[in-house]
Amino acid sequence: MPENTQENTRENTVFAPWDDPEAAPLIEFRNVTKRFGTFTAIDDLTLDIYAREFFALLGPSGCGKTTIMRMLAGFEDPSEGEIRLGGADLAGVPPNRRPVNMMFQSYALFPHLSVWDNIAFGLRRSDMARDKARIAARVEEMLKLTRLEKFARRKPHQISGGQRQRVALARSLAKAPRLLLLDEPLGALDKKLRQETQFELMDIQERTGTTFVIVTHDQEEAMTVASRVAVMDHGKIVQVDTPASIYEAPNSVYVADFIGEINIFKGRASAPKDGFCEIGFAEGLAPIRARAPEDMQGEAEVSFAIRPEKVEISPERPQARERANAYPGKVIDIAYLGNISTYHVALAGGQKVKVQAANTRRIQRRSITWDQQVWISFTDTAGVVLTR
Amino acid sequence: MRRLALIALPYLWLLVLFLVPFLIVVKISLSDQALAIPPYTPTLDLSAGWQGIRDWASGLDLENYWFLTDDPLYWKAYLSSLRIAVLSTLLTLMVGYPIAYGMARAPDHWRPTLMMLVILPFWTSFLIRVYSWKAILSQEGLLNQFLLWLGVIHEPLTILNTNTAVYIGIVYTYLPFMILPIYAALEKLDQSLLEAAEDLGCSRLSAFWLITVPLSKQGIIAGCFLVFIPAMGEFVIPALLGGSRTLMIGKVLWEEFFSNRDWPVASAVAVVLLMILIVPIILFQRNEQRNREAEG
Repeated sequence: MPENTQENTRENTVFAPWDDPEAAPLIEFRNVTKRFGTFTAIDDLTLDIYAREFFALLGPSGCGKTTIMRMLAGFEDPSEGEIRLGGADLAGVPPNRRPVNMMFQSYALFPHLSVWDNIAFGLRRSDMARDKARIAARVEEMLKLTRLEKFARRKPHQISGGQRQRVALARSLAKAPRLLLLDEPLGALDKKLRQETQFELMDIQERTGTTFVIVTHDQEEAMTVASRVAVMDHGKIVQVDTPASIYEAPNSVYVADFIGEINIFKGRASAPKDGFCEIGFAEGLAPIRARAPEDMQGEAEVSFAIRPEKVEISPERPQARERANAYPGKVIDIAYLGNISTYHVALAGGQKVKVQAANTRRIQRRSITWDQQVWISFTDTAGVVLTR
Repeated sequence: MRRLALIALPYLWLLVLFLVPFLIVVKISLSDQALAIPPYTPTLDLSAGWQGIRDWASGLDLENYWFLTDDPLYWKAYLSSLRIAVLSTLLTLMVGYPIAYGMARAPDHWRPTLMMLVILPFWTSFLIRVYSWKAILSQEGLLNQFLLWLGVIHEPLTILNTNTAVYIGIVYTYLPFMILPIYAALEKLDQSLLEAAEDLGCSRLSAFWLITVPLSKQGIIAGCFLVFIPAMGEFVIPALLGGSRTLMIGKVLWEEFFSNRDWPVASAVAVVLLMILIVPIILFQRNEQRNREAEG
C-alpha cells in the first residue's frame, strides 16, 4: 500500500533530499562496473537516489542507462561494486524477491490475460495471494488510478496504445513497490499523448509516493517529469542535477549539447579577473566577456556555451550597457515555429549563432528578415564557460 | 469471375480426390461381398436404365455396419487404437516440447541447423526408418547389446513386437509434427514477458507454467492433432514393430482388404474410422481458425 496518506499534506519546503547531508538514500550505487564480455556497459558508477524522487537516466542509446535499470530490477548483476536498496545489498537477490517493479518498454503485457488479470498478476504472487477480496480492491484501485475501469475485461490487443501503456503502469504499481523502474515508458506514444501522459505520470508518482527511476533518450521528457536528471555517456554519468541546473549550468560541452539547443564558441580564455574572463574566439572580433568558472585559474582553452533564447537579436546596435557582448551578423535562415522563431545568424568570423525570439507580434509586424544585417547581443552572465 | 475460378480450384480438387473416392468407399461399405471382379455386389448397370439404378439401390444395406457391432474384434480394435493414439500423442508431446523449447531458446544462428535436423529424417523413406527400428529393438538388436554391455541388464529385453515398440515407433515418426508447431509458437514468444512475470514475483518455473505454456497452447493443440489423427489409423508401425497382440484398426482394415478380400466390411471399417476422426479434425480446424483470428 502506498504510505503517503499522512504525508499528502506536504510541508511547504522544496523537495531536495540530495542537498541534505542527513538524508539516507534509498538506492546507492557504489563503484558499480558492468561488463558484457570485453564491452564495459557501466564504468565505475557511484550514484545515490532518494526516496520519493522521480529520477531520470538520460542519454543516447548504448550509453548504459538500460543496464542500470536492469541491474536494479535484478536481470543483470554488476561485475564489480555494490548496489544497495534501503541499506541492504541487492547482490544475489533474484528479480522476484526485490521490492522493485518495472514497466517495460514494450509494456510486456500478458496477451492471454485480461487487463484485470494483468494487473492482478503480481498481487496473486505476493503475500496477499490468499486474500481475493484484497486483491480485487487493489486492482480496482489501480484501474481507477489509471482510468481504466471500463477496459478491465478486455484483452491487451483490444485496447489502444495509450491504454496499454496505462495497464503496464497499473500492473507495475499494483504491488506498491518501493522503487518503480520505467524503461522508455512513453516511447511508443505519439507526441500529444506523450505530453499528456508525462503529467499523468508525475501526478501518479506524487499521489503514490513511489520512487520512480525513468530511462529515456528524450531530453524534453526527462526535463518535464524528473526531480533530478542524470546525463550519461558511454557508461559514465556526466552530470546529475535538477533539470534547471542541467539546463542553466551544464558542467560540460557534452551535457550542454545534449540538453536543448545551444551555441558553442570555442576559444582561449584569459586569466579570470574579478570573476570574469575574456574569450577570444575569432580574429578581428571582440572577445566574449563572461563569468569565469570558480575552479578556473590562469589562461585556458574553453568553450563558451549560450542558449539561443538568451541571445538577443536587433536591427541596430543595442545601447544598453549591460549587454556586454554585441556582434554584427547577417541573418541566413529563419525557422518559424509559431510561438517562437529561430534566427540563424552568421557573424563576421564565420561563426553561426542561433537566436530564439518569442513571436509576441504578428508576423507582418516583425522587422527582421532574410539577409538582413543585424546585431546579436548577450549579457556577461547569460552563458557558461566550460572547461571540458 | 477470376476469383470464382480461383476458389473453384481447391474445391474441385477436394471433390475429385476426396469426396468422390469417399462416396465410392461409402457405396462399397453398403454392398455385399462377392466372388467376382470387383469383389462386391451390386454393381451399377447403367445400360439397364432406370430399372438398373433401382435394382442397384435396393441391393444396398447397412448389414456390414451391424456386423461391426456384432464382432467384438472391431470395437476392441477401435478402442485399442484410440488408447495407443492418445498415449503416444502425450508421449510425443513430452518428448517434443523440450526439444521445441530448446530450439526456440537457442542462439539465432543455430536455429536453421536445428530445424534442418528435425526435418532431416523425412529425406529417408518412412518404411526404411521403421525397419531400422527393428534392428535397434530386436533381441539381438543394438539397444539390447548396448544395455548388456553397460551391465544394466543381464537378459535381453523383449521390446520388438510389443506395444512398447509401437509407441517408440509412433513417437519417433511423428515427433517433427509435434515439434514444428510448438517451435513456431515458442519462437514468437516475447522474452520480456518472462522477465515481466519474474519482476512481478514469479519464479522461473512458475513463469514457465503461467506464461510460456499458455502462450504456446495453440502450438501444443496443433501438434497433438497432427500426431493423433494419423496415429489413430496407423498401419505400418503396428504391422512392422507391433506383435500379434497389438490390435490397431489400421491392421484390421488391411486384413479385411487383402487377407479376407472383404471389401465391403473393410470399407465400413474405414468409414467408421473417418467418423471417429472427424471430431478431432473439426476441433483442429476450429483451433486453427481461432488462431488466425487472434493474430489477424
